[in-house]
Amino acid sequence: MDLSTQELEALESSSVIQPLSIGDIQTEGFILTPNKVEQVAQLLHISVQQKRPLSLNYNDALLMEHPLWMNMKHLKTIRNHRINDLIITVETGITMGELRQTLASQGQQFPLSYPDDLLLADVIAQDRPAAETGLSGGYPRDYVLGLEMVTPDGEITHYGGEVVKNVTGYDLNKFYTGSHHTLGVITAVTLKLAPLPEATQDWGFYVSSPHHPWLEDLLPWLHQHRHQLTACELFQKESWALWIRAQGTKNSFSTLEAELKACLGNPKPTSSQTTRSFLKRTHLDQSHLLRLTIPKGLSALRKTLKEIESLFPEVKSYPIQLRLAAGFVHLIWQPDNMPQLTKLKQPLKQLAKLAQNQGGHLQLLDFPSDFLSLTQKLNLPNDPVAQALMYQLKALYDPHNILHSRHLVFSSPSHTKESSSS
Amino acid sequence: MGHRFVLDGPEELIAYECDACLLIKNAPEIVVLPKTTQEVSQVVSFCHTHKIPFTARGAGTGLSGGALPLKGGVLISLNRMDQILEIDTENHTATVEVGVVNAHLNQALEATGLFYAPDPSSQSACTLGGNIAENAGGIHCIKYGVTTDHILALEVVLPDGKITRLGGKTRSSHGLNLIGLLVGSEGTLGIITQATVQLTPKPTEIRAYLATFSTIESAGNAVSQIIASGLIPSALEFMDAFTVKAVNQAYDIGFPEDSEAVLLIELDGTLHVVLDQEDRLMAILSENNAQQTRSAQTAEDRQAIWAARKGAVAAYGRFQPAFYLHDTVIPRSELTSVLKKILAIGKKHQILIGNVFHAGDGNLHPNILFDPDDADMLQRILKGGEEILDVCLQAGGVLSGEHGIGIEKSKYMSRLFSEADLNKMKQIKAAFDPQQLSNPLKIFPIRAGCGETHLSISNPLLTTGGAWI
Amino acid sequence: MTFSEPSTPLPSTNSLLNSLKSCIHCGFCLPVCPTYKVTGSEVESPRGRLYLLKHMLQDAKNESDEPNEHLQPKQIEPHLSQCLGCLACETACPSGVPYGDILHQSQKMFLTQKNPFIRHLKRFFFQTVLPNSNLLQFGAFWLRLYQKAGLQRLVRFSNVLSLLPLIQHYEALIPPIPQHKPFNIGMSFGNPEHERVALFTGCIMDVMYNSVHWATIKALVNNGYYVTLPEQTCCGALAYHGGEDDIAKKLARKNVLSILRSQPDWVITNSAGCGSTLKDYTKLLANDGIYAEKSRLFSEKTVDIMALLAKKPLKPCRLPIPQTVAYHAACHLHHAQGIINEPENVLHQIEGLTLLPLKDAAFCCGSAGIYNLEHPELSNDILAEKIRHIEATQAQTLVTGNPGCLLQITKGLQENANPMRIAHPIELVAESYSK
Repeated sequence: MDLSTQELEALESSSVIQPLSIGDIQTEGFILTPNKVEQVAQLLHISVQQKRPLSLNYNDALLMEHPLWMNMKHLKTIRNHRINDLIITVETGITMGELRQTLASQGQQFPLSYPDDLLLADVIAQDRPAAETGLSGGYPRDYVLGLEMVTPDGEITHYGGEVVKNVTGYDLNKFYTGSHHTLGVITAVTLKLAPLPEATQDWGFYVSSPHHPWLEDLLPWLHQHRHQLTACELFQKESWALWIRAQGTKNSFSTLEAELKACLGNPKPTSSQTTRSFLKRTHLDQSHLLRLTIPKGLSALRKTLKEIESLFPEVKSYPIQLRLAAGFVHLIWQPDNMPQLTKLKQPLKQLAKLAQNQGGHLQLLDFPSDFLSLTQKLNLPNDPVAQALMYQLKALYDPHNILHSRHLVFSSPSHTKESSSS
Repeated sequence: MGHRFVLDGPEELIAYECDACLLIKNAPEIVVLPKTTQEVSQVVSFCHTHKIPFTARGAGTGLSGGALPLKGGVLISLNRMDQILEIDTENHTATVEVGVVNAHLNQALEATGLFYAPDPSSQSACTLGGNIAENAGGIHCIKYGVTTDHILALEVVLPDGKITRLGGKTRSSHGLNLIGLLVGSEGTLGIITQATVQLTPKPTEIRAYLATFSTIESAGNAVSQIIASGLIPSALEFMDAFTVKAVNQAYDIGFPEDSEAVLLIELDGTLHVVLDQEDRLMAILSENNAQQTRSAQTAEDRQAIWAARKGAVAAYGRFQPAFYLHDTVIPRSELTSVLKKILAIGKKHQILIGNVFHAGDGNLHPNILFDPDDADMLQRILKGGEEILDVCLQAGGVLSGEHGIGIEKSKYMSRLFSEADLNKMKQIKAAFDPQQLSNPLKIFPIRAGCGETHLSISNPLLTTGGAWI
Repeated sequence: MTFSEPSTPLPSTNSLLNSLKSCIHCGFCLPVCPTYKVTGSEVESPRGRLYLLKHMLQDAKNESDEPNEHLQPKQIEPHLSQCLGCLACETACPSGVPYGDILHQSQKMFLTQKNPFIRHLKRFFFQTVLPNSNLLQFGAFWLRLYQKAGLQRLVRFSNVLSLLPLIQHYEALIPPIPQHKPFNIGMSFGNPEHERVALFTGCIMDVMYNSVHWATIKALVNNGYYVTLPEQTCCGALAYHGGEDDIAKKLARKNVLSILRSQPDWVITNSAGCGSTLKDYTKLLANDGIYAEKSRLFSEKTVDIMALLAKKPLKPCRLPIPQTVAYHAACHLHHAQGIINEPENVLHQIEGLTLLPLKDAAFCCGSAGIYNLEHPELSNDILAEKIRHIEATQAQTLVTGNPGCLLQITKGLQENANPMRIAHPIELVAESYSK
């Protein structure tokens, strides 16, 4: 498909293509704001023709030299909401806040919750684990029933359907969700929904270190009630605190609370303000995130924690967050306390190795640009055969390598150059 | 590998010419029974070098012809790879060779308080490898998810013979989600030889119920209402009157035969939650005019109910020697209208159709019974089958919920996917298997003039009119 | 010995094909089939065997095809003959395939495929040796002598038999032949006022496990039965399973007539193999004039000793038996007769006795009549699996209700030098009653 000058002009005059400025500074880049899926295909085509990388993530775009930043905000039509089937098909430019409101008006919800301003496109592309329903990992891919993806060759492809179970053809729902916009642009998804719960309850308690025995009682309790509990996180900043959320009927909460307190041995509750600040933090925004995914048993957790404490003695000065029963350990740095690459490189590698030996792995999310090659090394598996396959598939979808996200980096000569110069 | 585990006698090959899908047959040229991943890799490497097609097989319980060696070649039967390598109770995982029978894993887990949730009806015989290849579902997946939701790691022999390990003991995907892609790829992207699966803690309280209805409508409406209410039962199954009769004969279980439809429902969780759900469930059932509602009193009763449900399809063997079934999934709000249309199609073509299916998922299983020796009947069931498919697709359905496309549904793929959609999948196939050796001619429609004419493509199931032969 | 070709009417192809139709190829039978388990080959599975049989019969009907591409009986016969006949597949089958019947019919069909010399040798054994208790006792006498006089030790020590592996295999199967405490026909035990049971002694059982009969009598009398020993002969199981129906029928008629004459309320067996054959007399003699009705009556009265005792609570036992016990379910009890929980329910009532679960308890041990003689290699593989599970229980005693299983498991444990006791469950019941 060749884009005629006419078509290009049409895109420009309808403000689909506009120069990108950061603050007051005019950049060499453009901001692309498609209004229709067909325009996404056209824009991808331009990107391929000009061999200019295209990003869907604002932060990524800022790191590029001549960025094309695609903002999906106008693509947010609700294509079909099967209210009785608890299924919705929606374009991905919708924000999670808008989606939440739309669904709430029908007494429904997307079971995973995210900050209101996050785009559905990013949630899906990153397969971003939510804090809530964190007991099963909180992965969006568990709720994706179908999707529409525009591939760099300009094809609009579809997969799945508005049904809850489907093995018709390869499971591209699973393959595309979490591909971090590296294979194509996911423009619409069909999601599995749930009714709004009758009630939600949060508990916050101060607890002693996870090395203490209370955790041994808590973990089985969490598993036993996993269909009612939607989140369970442990935070450390100065001292340890626990946040637990349950959904269900109000009268079921008192039993849960009594059992929980018994597990913890009469803990001291946190103030509601502290709990609110947990909730804010759990969204992991505006930060550099190290995610260790480890088996969910106690030994793996404690071993990992010990290793972190010895590798990062200053750990108390920035938050560490454990998503219990899901097997996540997060270390969160803010731009102002982020250590240098040279200081972090060795400990990170060591930590990655430990995670791997336990059957898990380490990922660096939204790390500064000087961590790019380390990110790449850690965010792809070590196994050369698996890695080769991934590269092959990436090349199949995106032979010109115009779609690369820092979350999942496929290096190529041109890309390495760009990243080093940025 | 030892001569004993290489089969090439003519009668030995004939025994492998089909799986549980009896409509299409083709014998392999040789059968190998490897014991280790290395042996599988050696066989596949050999095939790769000499451009010989190969097809993996587990217990051969598949209903879509997935284990059928359509191009002959080597049949790699993995049932001897049946070791449970590790049960990690602390981290809730089990690592198994793929020849382990689904039910055997659960037997081994009995004392641990954990279980492996996906439970296809053939679980007493089917292997985990087959489950993974087809992304099998089951009765309890309405609450616990299908196979893909429980796979943490895979060891795969790729079509060039290379071995790779993906994943670990966590659910997260590392890099691109190749595990998600491989599960359900029906052996066309390589041969899975080992897997680490997620185990689930057993619920403390389980209750099963049986509700009968005088009309299909009221049963269908009850299902829709249960789903819309957000109640997530651990099973929600539908049986029509004919199926109840067949099951009663096979299992002597005494399901009531005086109704049009029976729902089998299970709730599980903590006692508190189950009691609460039970109230809501009973209200919905009576609102939809359930004739009678029974609950299974003991664990044995409950197990007997599910054993009978799981044997239902095979119990049809008492009426006709073969069955042909669709595996469509439709939006659950369409259940009633689609079921009524299916029954009408049965009447119109004078074919016996038994409906027993996962109502909670909207996953229909219209079992069309027939006698393969009756040519006229064969025509009628194929015609009826086609019409059933039309009805389901028109209602927004998809071709398969858990059995896979295999060879039996491949010709319908282009009714659901555009050329571009199918091409993307074919490219993935080509990236893994450029020589098209791994379980060839599956999933994708067989085109005319592809040099596949040695196959007896007179079989109407393989072919469609028009551009597709 | 006559070499005239015995005349067994061949089953009709159509009726066999009809039975075969009920197999829908679902594969539920695979994991329970011992030969499939050890060979991994579908041809050695019930589904595979049925499929081949169907294929062959259809080929034969289909005259238009190329006949030289047809499956021939000689290609299929070996796979059918490798079947143990344990019937675990019938238990697992949801479609109700009459596998046992089909196997039996097909064996009749394949008789002509077998080596005529071996076939006649077997027939001689089935019809002349087994039913002749004097001849059996005569053989047992010499074997006993062989074992007692130290000759066995010498033979085993010198390892001369390693030159003849097959003979070595058979030799290993011979258990210590116990002293025989003979019965006289017409003997009776207990109070004649009580319910009347006729004890069926069988051939091999009587020679090898004569003590089990005495235990049976003791348990029955203690539980208020009157035990009689009417005139009888071998049940004919081996002939019947070998497809030699003419011999089996002769023996069946004899048993039916003479045992019914004693007017028993029950006909008791303590051998699972005999029991299932006695129950099959109905089928065997279905078209046999006056025997049809008599055999039905006879089969109805036939009951395994453990099933009979399970009908009522045991009369209080006086001696506790502080033992850990594992129960191996003989195929011909569990699968052929559907006697599943009864033996354990009875044992459970014995004070002090602890039942330990045995993995795959209803999996065949590889004995299967004379299977262990005909297919030693497969039989040994199947046995090894069984022994592995038995040893894993670490029970003090293993019990099972069939002489074939007792012989086979004894051999397996001996090879592992495992001192575990092996007994018939009724022996434990008998022991719990003081003298």
